[in-house]
Amino acid sequence: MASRRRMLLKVIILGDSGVGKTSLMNQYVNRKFSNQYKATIGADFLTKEVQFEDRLFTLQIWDTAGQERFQSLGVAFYHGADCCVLVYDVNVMKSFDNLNNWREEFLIQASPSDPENFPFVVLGNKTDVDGGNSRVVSEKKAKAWCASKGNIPYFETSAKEGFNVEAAFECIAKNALKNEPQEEDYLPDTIDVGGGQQQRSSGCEC
Amino acid sequence: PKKKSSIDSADLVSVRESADSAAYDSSCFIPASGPCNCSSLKRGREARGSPYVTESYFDFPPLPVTDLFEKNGKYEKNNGVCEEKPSTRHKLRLEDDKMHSFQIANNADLIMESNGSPSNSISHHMKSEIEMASPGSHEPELWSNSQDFKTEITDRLRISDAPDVPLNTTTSPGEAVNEERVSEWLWTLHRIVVDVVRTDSHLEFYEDTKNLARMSDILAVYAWVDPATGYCQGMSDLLSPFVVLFEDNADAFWCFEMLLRRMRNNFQMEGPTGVMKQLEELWHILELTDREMYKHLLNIGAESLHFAFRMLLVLFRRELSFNEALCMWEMMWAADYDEALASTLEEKCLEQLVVQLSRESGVVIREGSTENSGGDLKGGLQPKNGNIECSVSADDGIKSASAHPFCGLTRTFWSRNGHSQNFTVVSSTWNVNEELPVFCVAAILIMNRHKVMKETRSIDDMIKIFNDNLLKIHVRRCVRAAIKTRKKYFYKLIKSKSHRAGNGE
Repeated sequence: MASRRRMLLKVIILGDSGVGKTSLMNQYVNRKFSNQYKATIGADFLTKEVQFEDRLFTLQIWDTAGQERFQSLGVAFYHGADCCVLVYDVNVMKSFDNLNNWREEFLIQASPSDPENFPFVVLGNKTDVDGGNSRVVSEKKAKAWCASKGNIPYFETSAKEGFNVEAAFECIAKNALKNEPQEEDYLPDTIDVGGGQQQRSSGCEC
Repeated sequence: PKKKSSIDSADLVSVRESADSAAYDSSCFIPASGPCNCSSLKRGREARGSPYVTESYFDFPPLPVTDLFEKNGKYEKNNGVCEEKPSTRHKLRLEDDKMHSFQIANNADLIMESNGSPSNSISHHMKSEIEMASPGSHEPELWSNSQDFKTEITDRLRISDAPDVPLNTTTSPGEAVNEERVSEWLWTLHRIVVDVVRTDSHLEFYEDTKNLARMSDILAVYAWVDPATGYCQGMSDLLSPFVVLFEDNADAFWCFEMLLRRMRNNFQMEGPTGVMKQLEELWHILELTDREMYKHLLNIGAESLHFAFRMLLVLFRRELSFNEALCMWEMMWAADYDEALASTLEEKCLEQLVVQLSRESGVVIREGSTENSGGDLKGGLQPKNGNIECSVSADDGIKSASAHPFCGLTRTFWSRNGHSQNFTVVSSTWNVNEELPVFCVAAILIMNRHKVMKETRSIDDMIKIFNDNLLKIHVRRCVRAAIKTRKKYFYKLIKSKSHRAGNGE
């Protein structure tokens, strides 16, 4: 088992409902876009193996519900996060205004050891909508906010077109890695990974 | 996923047909679609002066489906007179501080308004009201089999508006307040639409935007009459089946509202407290009924049981196909049908949704002991903050059954079916956490024991197999197993209690 030990990087995606959290995650991990995603209830995650300076990491990306009142549930999922991704829709002003709430709420709930330097990344999604004509949050405005919060890296993305998603998540992974990750003592498997998994039997099976 | 889009349309049709006949049980609350009434409503609105704010507050982009409000004009299929002018989308009028009205869709049945200047003598004590229906326009043959309904037909039904919202306070610098509230409301509408378009979007039924509009209209009405809850994600999953089953928005609304009475505490601002309690209950159930599963979950650190959150929040809508979920709901509710619980639920009616019938309607009201003599049933319509002159008997704010003879379809529904007469109170009323859904989750775990034991080594694994629907859920077997598990649980519970009592604890 020891040889299979891999570092787990935990990333949490937050933002208002409908900004594209699930789509971004799926675009990055599966390189697919669908407009059939349902509103996320509770939380879900996907994992992806990433290589960085000759080392392999497992990026575990948590997708959460976009409604504030489900945040009480979030605590359980925020725990141990290495990086937090804040997503807004460039076409919806309010989703940008709410970033501050999401950030603060995360810091309260996850209570990272060094909140000042906890890595966030901001994504302005849906740049493709209406050829950019319906956007209401300018890049300048978003960057200014990011700068005011300790130079949060900022990306404009389109989960639908796959634009900038890879680059954004590379940055996310690097930032997560900087956040002093600890060794995990097991690799949480996705079920369909298959192949050479050793099953730990627990209890009797009767 | 696209495969499911052909959910047996034949099936649906047949369900709908049978549902239709049931629908008439509540049809005295069906909003009038009669021409006279609709146009009179319109005229009433138009008479109230020119609209003054619209787009300026709408700082959200027009979503692809916000247009659905416009496409909806021909929904009222049985009356051509009711065609509305095309400009009614999101009409927001704020003529003065005393009046606030909006119209979500072109549907006459969803017109809501709160009116500060009392104009109607019948309802002069109600500062605000939603006028829902004037059932006189209904074809009488629908309910000709019962005297009661004929009398009801002649009554006008009113629903008091949300009292918590001080729309009608005489605030003079109210414009800023209004602006904020309008913006807040538009944000609610935005969130509703965002979720509606992705609810059951694989169903052919929802390829028709007018059906999406129906769903968003009903959610908007709910958010309006229950401001403490508003709109919350998950609601659309619970509403969707009713929109599919009932052609009438009012029927769908009342069924949804009744369902939310059981589940409202999952959607409130404080968070999904109902589900969290159910998860605690589930843990206890496993502890008593299935030590092996209990120990396994404990070992892998999954005792929070968060993986079952979605199942309980949207009642297996995400784990089962549309038809399977309906089957599951029906089985669960039939198994748990309990007069005592039902009447408890009746009392959980939202204050704002209490329906007042005028006194002449007699029969059913009298049966419901209307002791508020001369109070015109005011007690029931008293807003919580009681800023309206107090009525004689009202323990204001407390929802007593007598003060609330009607709430949605429930009372009429039962009395019409003659159930209220042979009312036998079942002593073993479940409390909410002992309702079947939580035992269904236990049953699902138990029935998938092998997979769970073999393939999960952390709560993350559990979340994965639950979210990705990798578990086998056979609806009928599941409900049967749930009922058995519940019996076992209560048996063990009693045993452990008597054991403890024996030990003098």
